[in-house]
Amino acid sequence: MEKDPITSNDAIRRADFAREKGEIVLREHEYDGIQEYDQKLPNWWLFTLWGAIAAFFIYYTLYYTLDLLPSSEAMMDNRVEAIEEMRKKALEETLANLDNETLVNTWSTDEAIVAQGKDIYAQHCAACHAADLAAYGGAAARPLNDGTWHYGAEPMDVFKIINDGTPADKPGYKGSMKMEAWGKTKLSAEQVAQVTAYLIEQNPADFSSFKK
Amino acid sequence: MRDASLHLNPRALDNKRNIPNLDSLSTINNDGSKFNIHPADVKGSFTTRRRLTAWLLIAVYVLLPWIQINGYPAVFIDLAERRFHLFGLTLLTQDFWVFFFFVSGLAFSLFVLASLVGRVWCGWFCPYTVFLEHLYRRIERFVDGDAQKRKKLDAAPMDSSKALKRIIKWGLYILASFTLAHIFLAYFISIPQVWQNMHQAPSEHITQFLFIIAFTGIFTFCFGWFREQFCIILCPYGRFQSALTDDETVTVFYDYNRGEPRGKIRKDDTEAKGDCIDCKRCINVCPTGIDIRNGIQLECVACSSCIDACNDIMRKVKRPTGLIRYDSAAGLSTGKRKIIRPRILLYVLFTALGLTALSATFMSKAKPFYAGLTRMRQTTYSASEEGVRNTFVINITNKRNRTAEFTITLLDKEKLNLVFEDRKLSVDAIQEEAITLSILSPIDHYVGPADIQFQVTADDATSSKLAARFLGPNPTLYKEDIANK
Repeated sequence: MEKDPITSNDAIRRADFAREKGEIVLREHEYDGIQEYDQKLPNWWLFTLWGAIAAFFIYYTLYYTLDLLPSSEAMMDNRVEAIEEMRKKALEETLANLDNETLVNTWSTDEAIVAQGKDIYAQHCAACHAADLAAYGGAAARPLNDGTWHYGAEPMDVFKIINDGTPADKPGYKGSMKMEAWGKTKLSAEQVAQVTAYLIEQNPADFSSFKK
Repeated sequence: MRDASLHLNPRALDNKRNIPNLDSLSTINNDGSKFNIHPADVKGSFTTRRRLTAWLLIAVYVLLPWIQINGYPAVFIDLAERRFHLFGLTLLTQDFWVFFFFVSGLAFSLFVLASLVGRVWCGWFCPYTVFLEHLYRRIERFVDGDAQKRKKLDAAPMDSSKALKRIIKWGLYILASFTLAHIFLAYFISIPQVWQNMHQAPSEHITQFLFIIAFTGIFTFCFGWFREQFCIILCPYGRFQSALTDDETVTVFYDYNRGEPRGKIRKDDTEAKGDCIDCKRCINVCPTGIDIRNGIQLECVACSSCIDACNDIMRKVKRPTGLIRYDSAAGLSTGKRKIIRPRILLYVLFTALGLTALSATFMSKAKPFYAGLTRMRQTTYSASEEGVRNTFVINITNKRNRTAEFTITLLDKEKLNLVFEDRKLSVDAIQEEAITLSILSPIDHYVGPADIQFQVTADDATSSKLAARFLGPNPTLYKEDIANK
């Protein structure tokens, strides 16, 4: 193999010698008429190279060998978990004070709660179930004023179906139309309870057995 | 520069004379360590103007987070909420495309500026230079004295008085950096939040605490020690310069024809001499340690210190000022300067094109609200005796600092005789709200899927259109199916 005129030991020795004498070393190679000087790099510049190498080892050790610091993936998972946890806690808190009797006797008799439930119903539910609860004659979804409650006739069953949506193992209305799990997407557990209260208020006969 | 050799001083290569040459950096020693330069004080009209500009800029940087427009600081990059408030305009992550225009617009403006007046941004307006020259170097001047004293102090062995001076100097640097870091943080979390965090334990806001520590360190390092190395080696702007400037670019130049051959004034002079008396004052005042007499160089930040320095000397020796001046290479050799040239026109054209594109996009996209449309989960459409029904969810984000009322209308009702009643939705300030909508195409009018458009109109009449596809079954099969039931 031919000796590289720039990186050969001879060339380096010559350059070192010249630099010691305080001369500026001009390298022999030339591209498009451009030549380069062989100057010492600034020390701080070299430090960025060594620093980057050191940073890699420190980073890799901390994050991947010793697992002392969470990777961004783990941080993301933790965040998602924390949000799930919060939702679960809010649901539990709502459920702790919620049963068939309170829904019928306390929630559905409170005008303010029912009014809020009606607003939420208009904003989200009316699109399919219609403002008059008739679901456009059962065209788009199950009517909510025909006295039948497909997924259970107890107030808490109504809460559950709104909160969790159509169960995964059920085919849905007319074999294909499933309801979204509102409690897991757009509504809080409290809001789901408000909508439930509104439905109870609209169908007093269906839930009269829980009335005290 | 094509004819840089024209201005190249042959003696520049003589490195036995103790002057900066073109072949090596005067701020880096032969062994690679850094050589700290101490530019001498300079007075003059350019220096005064530059100082006033710097004070004005520092005032702007410091005051911006304090000025409130529409309930938010004038410039507030709210990273936590991912919102950007710029002089009353609020941008969300969805508006990040503006950033493209911002960066490219900045680039083209700098192109125009650099080809017109060289690196004038660097010497006069860059925040780095502004803080370095007009805050940190003033601190150094205040503690250590003028350039001569500073050089002596650098060379002197460490004793108690030097140690004391060093402690005071670096203490003041750190104090200044600490203050700057807080102001810098305010751009991201707002002044009241900074103030509140300062009264709480660091552990409660660990990210912001680390931010302050990091930037105090970075500022102290950069302005206290690193200094001109950034402008010479790291900043890409200096590198652009050679591509952006030409013979007509006006920047700091030494009038080679008038100045050479340079030499000290002697009584028994027989040869004709140029106006340069080789006093090296221009080198002594240079903040990047170059000899401007070697012609335009990458290191030159066009700060004009050497102009003031040389003019001062010229007045003393009773020669005309302007031996070093703002001029162009062509201006030096022919006396004629040309400002308008094809490259300038082209850069201006590009900048104008960018601005036009930005305003056009801005008009159509950057609304005071953001509306997005998705199809309802779990369903595509429902087909029954009454007709075909599609359900959509519209998400509206209110970007303004007040509650806003939105009206949602369907634009193409005549298509398929769509049935949809206008809906209203109220969204609180800087909040997001969703609404579920159902559209019916009565069975008699249904003829197959169609493209439809919703319009969301805010209470201040700004509106935004949302395109959607109305889906449904094959009309013939569907109608047969219903008829058979």
